[in-house]
Amino acid sequence: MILRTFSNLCAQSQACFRSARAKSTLSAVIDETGKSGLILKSLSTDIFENLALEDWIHNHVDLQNRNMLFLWSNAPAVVIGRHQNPWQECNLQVMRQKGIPLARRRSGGGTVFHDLGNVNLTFFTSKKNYDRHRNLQVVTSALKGLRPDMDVRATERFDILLNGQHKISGTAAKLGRTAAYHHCTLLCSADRALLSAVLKSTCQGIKSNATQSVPSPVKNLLDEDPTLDCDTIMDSVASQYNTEFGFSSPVTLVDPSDELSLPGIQRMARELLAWEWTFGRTPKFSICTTFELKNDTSICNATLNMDIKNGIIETCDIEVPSDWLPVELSREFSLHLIGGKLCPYETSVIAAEFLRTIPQNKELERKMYNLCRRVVFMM
Amino acid sequence: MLLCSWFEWFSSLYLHRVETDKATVGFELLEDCYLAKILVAEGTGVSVGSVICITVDSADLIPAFKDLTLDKLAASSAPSAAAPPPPTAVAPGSSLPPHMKVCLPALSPTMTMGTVQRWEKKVGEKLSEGDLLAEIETDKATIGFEVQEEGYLAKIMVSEGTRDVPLGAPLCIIVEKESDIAAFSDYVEAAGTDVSTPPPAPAPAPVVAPTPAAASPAHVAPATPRKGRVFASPLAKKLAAEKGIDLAQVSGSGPDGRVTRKDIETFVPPKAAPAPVAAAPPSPASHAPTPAPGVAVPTGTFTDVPISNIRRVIAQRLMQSKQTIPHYYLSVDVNMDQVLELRTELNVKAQNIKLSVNDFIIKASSLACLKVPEANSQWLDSVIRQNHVVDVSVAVSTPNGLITPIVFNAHTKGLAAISSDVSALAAKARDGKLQPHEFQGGTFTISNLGMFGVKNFSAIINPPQACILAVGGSEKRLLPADNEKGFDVASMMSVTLSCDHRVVDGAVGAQWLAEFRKFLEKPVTMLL
Repeated sequence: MILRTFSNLCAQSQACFRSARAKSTLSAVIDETGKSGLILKSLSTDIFENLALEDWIHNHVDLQNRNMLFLWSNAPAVVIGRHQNPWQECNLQVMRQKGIPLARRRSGGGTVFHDLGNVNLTFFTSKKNYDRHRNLQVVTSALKGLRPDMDVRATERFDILLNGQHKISGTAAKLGRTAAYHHCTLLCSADRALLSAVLKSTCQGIKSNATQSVPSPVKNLLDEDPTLDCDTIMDSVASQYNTEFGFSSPVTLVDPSDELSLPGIQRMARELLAWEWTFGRTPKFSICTTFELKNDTSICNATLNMDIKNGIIETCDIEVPSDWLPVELSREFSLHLIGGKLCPYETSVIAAEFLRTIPQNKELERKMYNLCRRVVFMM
Repeated sequence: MLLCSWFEWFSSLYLHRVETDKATVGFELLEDCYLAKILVAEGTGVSVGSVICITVDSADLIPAFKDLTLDKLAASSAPSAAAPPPPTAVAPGSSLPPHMKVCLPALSPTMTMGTVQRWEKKVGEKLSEGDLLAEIETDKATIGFEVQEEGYLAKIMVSEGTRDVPLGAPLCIIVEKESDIAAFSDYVEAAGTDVSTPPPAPAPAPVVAPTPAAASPAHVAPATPRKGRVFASPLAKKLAAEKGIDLAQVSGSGPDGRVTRKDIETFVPPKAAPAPVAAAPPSPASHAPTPAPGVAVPTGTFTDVPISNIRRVIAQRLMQSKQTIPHYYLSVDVNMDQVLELRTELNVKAQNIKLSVNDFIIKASSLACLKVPEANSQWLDSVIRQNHVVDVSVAVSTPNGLITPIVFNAHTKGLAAISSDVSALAAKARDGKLQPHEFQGGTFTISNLGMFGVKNFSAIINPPQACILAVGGSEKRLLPADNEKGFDVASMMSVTLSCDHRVVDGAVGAQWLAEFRKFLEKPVTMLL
């Protein structure tokens, strides 16, 4: 497989660097090559940059008579589907502790864990040529090409199963006006312990209409055969893609932070990073849960009811037994949370300031602090 | 009408002959298609508006209609699972204004049902062709459902988040005129009513039956593009018929050259009255959608900024503090020459650390608090708690408001440690990423506005603390001195200590300031 950088691709086409003109955008360069099939590979392992590049290609490249394959992998991140609820799908506390970012992609489907041992493949086509089974066949054929007796099969739900049991790939797609993309993951050598830890939600009592992930047992291809590492697999898929569709495209490297060739991409990456997208786009849901409040001397049970829309707390009712904490305090605290984001940081600020306003006595302060901390923990 | 005979079909040939009122009329096809099912046998009397046959776009679809009968058609609200009924215009004369009912189409080849995840437009909003109307999720794919025909969104029948909506289910209603929206406020979808009733139309454009569009992924429009034929939306056809405009003369601006209502309207020849330009022009002010909470609305001479709940809580705390705590203020000027010299020296020597004047101030305050523990206390109603550790809250200004992250155990930390703590906390505070424990607590607060050029100021105490130190900027001043020249120049910094008189008496506060000043004017003493 010949690897070329984007600059080489430019040099191939008419609009090359040697001319006095400014460097063309990626779509212009692609059009000028006149090729109907292209394979791109990302130079970045940043989930937001790569998702932005996917969107950029979808929006700016003419895909009516062209197919493209995009290969990418990311540093550890959790990626939820367009209409999912992060509080329901993953363990946000563990992710914060370990510095694993949360990203929301624009395609539907369920939650996945990405790390450098996971390969992502995006198949770009026109809307007419959208064919997920064919794409998955490219993947299974590529794998079988490497190991002919490996049992890998695509299911009706567009998963790929290893030995009929373990999921090694999941799929999602987005259909736009005239073009579509289908992307899937491929587990080569991911950190499975970390995967299980982050994909387990700890938030109880959530009621929502968001798309729910279907958990499945997973396995790494590397466990099956130590020669199957990410690079080998990516090369094989690229080669099979060429074979299946009759292209002869080399793998071209792309830098998703290059604003000159990809105008507008940095703004797209920033949009994907913003809280308003990652958390704010959660379909409306409610939380209804009880939790324990402990003190040196006593324990009690408190209940919490919240309605959340666009990530903002619309209604909040925290009930604590009146012998534990004065009713006005818990009520006032509930009121202060309304209109704020369901975000532990913001709630901590509010809690800290609120604690300063209540009449001071040691025990009351401790109890209130416990309550605030417990509520923050839930987020 | 009496159905006389069915002919073999070819495009532009008569499909059948209909006898009505002693006249035999040839019923011509409008579009190339295949005859899939004849629902009314020859010789049957039918009334105007009845369904008589089904036509389809491609021959593959014919078998699907093999067993269709008129009864089955009337019974089901959707003609078949794979065939979404196109938007139909309701006959004028029904009680509701003319409108278009949009049903869920097959947006991808394998789609059998979808989840309406999100409405991108609200009731009352103007819809332009090509706008994103809703986001549908099906089969792990997210699909944008676009507006096909301009108008106003009058009613949404399937709310956001409804899962597993079958194909053909009515999703929403679009009306031409904004004034018609109100008529649909209580609209309830009755099963199967309007779906199979084509509008009775004047001569040139009878609509036979809702043509099941082939489940092609690309087009939702009922008029699929055909060579040699003018394709137009039903509304456009109706309008053209009413105005007597020949569709063939109108150039279509819709996808694939489809003629839309807008094209018909703008086709009006110049010498005719300009009145037909129908769409009610929305007045800009009344159409501004209600601003989302949290968005400032500029109107003329002022802007109303909504109060975030962080700001509200901070406001409450400040009010309470100022109203309940008996504040008094003590000021002192500190000669910062030695601190500035030491700072420059240390910054040159140590590679990684960039000390700021504030770090010295934090250190000096914490040591002064150890010397005068009353200033490091809290009024707890029944007792005054004197703290033995000094946790300095550093005021940081953020877009959300003033927050005070804490440098814990500042009395034991060196200048370098304090410096790195403060930079980390300030960065986190501005990004909104502080952990709860990082700003819960604190025994003493420092607020520094010197970088803005403020000479001096007094701050509001942060309960339950007893004091807060307000630091101004250093400036070079002339001081009278006992030397040849008679004066000296020194960098003087003005600080003001606000104290809670319940906890800290005047003399005690003054003592604290004296210690603080001693530490800063002779920084080496901070080493002891």
